[in-house]
Amino acid sequence: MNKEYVLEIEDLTVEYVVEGEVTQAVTDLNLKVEAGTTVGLVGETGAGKTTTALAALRLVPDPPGTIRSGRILVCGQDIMKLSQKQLYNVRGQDISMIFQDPMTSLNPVETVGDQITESIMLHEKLKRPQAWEKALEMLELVGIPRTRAMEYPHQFSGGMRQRVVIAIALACNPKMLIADEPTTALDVTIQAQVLDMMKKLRDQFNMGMILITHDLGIVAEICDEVAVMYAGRIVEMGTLDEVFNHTRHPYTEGLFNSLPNIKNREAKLQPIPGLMPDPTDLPVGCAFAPRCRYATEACKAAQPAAHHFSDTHFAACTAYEDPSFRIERSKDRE
Amino acid sequence: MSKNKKEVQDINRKATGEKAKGRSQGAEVWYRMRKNKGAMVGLVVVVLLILLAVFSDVIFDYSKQIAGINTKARLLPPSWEHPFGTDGKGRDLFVRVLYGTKYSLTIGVVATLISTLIAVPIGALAGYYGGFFENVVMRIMDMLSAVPFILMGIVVVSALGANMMNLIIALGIVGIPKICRMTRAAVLTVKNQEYIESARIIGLKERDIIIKHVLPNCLSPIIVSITLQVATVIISASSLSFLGLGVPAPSPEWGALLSAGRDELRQHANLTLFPGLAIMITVLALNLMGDGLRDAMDPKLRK
Amino acid sequence: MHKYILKRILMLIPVIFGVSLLVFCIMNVASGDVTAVMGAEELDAQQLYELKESLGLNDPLLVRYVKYMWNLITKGDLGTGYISKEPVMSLFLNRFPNTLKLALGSTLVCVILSIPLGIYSAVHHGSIADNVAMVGALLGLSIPNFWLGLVLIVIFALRLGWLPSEGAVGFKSIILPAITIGTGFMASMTRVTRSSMLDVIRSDYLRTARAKGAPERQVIYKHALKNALIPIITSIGETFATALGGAVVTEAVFSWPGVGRLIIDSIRSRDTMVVVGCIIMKTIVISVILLIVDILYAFVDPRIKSHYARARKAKIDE
Repeated sequence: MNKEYVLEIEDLTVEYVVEGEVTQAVTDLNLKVEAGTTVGLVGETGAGKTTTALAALRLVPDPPGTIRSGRILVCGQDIMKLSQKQLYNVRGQDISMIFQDPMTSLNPVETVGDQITESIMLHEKLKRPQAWEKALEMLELVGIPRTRAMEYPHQFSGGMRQRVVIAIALACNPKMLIADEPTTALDVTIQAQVLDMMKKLRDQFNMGMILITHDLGIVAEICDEVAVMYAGRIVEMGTLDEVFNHTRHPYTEGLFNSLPNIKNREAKLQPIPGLMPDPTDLPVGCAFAPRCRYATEACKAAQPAAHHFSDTHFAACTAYEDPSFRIERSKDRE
Repeated sequence: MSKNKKEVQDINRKATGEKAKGRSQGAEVWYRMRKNKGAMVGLVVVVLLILLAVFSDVIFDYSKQIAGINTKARLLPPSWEHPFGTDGKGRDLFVRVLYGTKYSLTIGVVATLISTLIAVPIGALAGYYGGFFENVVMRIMDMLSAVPFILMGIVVVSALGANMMNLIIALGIVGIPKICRMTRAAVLTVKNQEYIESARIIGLKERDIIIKHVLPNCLSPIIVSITLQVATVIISASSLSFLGLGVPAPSPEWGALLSAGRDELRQHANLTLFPGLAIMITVLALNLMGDGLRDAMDPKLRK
Repeated sequence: MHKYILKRILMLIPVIFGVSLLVFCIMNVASGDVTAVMGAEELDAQQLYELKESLGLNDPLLVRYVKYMWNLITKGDLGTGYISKEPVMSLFLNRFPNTLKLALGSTLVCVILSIPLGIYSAVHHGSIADNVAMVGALLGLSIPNFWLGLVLIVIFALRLGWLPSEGAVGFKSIILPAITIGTGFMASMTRVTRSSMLDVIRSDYLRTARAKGAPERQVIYKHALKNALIPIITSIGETFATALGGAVVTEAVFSWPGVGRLIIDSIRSRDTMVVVGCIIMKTIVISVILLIVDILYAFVDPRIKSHYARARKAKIDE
């Protein structure tokens, strides 16, 4: 079967240099997104999720950030090789992004209608009145009455603003959308509405989508594939079913264990002990080893290799050198 | 094993909010300051100038080198013997400019001290207690600062009479509103922070809150604005002296030197050039130091 | 909105009265007996009394102040100069256009130089050019104005002979004083531009603009500059106000026939009436300009405007 990938990231490494100190935000990352599907990118704050997303649009702030190595293909075009002008065409038209905080991601001194119109006029050969008309249609598509186009962002609530942000991102029917924690800043009830809408629009436009989040519930709801990031690397990746029901990596297990159990309300939460390592001073071996309950001396010696459990499922964990190794979570299930 | 242990300790330390590098606040400021080249240059120059000002009467013989007239050596151009040349009364300009440091620094420091001693307590109380008192204080400050700094200085000096003492008093008074507003703003910001609220909740006395929590956290903007104020005062003082409303001749205050040199502008520009350079270097050093202090004390502004 | 403007105007009144009282008292009490400089030694007691009576000096200070302010408000009269024997208001009005011209010229110089420099510094934040510009700005802040004026005179008037060194005749004569004052303000305006651009440049909505494919120029000049404009406009207003008020020393250096020089000359001749009148007028003009800037500010920013619009609507709904 020939799959159409709208985003392919190969061996991506991104570094930040602040006052001579080098921070590896993303290391050797590989990720592919198929049209019409959603990949959930999960991990704690600082794991490098947002940096990965920004790199996909070549928007990593430089300085201090630089894309050290890797290849990023958006709809087959290597965006590292594009000229500035070609890059402007790709952004917004082929790949778009929604940011975390809707309160700050709209320009406060322009009306929301103008902000959508700008996006349309950048990519489509439309006169302003037509572009404006299309902007109004976009507003309606995301559930905002067209009469509000002349209003400024501060006149909208958080959820409404996020809808505007989505309208801007989708104004030119991009083939790939990256949503960076699009619902984190919203109330729970609004979250559901916005997610539902995004899912619908994804199917309508047959977009590929990366959903960045640390909320496993959201992942379960709309993702087809899941990639778990820790300290700049993908530690486990697979289909939704594989990662959720056949969890392999100890860190992923830790994430599930820190969720409150709805079925057994009396059960104690089991947080992962400690914090993520200082990204300026990553250990030689597995970055998760200091917090890992299964860690052995071998884990600290070298980077773990990826162990494949199926065509789509792998985990980067040294413990699987021993074929009989199983983490607690999967022991219960098998 | 031990490395791992250290990592875990680091992790835990960060979790409890303790500084990873374990320096005190003063040491932290000094550490950041040292990395700022401009600030360090400024600091070294300021220290040298202070030493020069303090020991000027030891280094130079006032009656002979500074005030003594030598008609044979009038208006000489710069040379090895007289690096800046000599003035209309045959006095070595280099020595006079060096000696002038004493006046500028004294005026700058003492006038700023006067403003600070008056403005900081008033501003702090106005900010902390607010209400009617604050309103009255701030309206008075509005009035004081509605007249431009230099005009107000002119008014006060011309009313009191032109000499160094009155110049200091005038610039001291004129400097009050800026520092007072600064202090009030700093106190206001700190006052509304949640840690002040928590201090109150755990039952700390009002006096202890002010001394232990409010003042230390206001200190850095106040210190920075005081440093910059010294620079402002030095420029204003020399401007007033230049207009004949400051330190009278024959004292080699830089503004007065400039004023005297102005008459010889066409033939002997060096008489104007060097005193001005002296002002510029001093003020630049103070500004560099003040900026460096601000960056070092407020890490949020660094990036 | 109207309420806000009204409130600001009302707040201005006590400030102006306070300032005038302060200046009036300081100048009249401390500058001693003006009659001493009017050749009063030769007069006998009766003549001295009559002279003082004619100048209105026999009343208590406060009474004189009230009379003075009354005349100012009802007739626009600032009294007559003790020495110059001319109405102070007409002296002031004669000189004011020159001061205004110079203030406009120097603000223009400052804006033309500082805003592009500030934008460039912010966009290339951390680069060598940024550091050079910032040290340059600091240098500009550290150069005494009058000295810069003298240096410019030496170079462009005395050595090269390109521009006149004094007076206010023709366009050429304004160039040197305007550069002197303008570069003095450059430091602060460059810094304001840079820092407000920096605030905006890191904002999320610029990222949104870039993500939708807007070219960098459009991102900077359309999105960033528009948002950074408010502090910059404030800074321009303040610069203009300061240029109107503080150009005293530069006016003296270039013998520029403005209000500042009038004040200095009157202080030298101890013409207290002129000094007091000019300072009060200057203060009023500056306060009014700063007020206008504040109100403009509210018009530029839709957040502030709609805040007042909404407040008014709420009032009507009640």
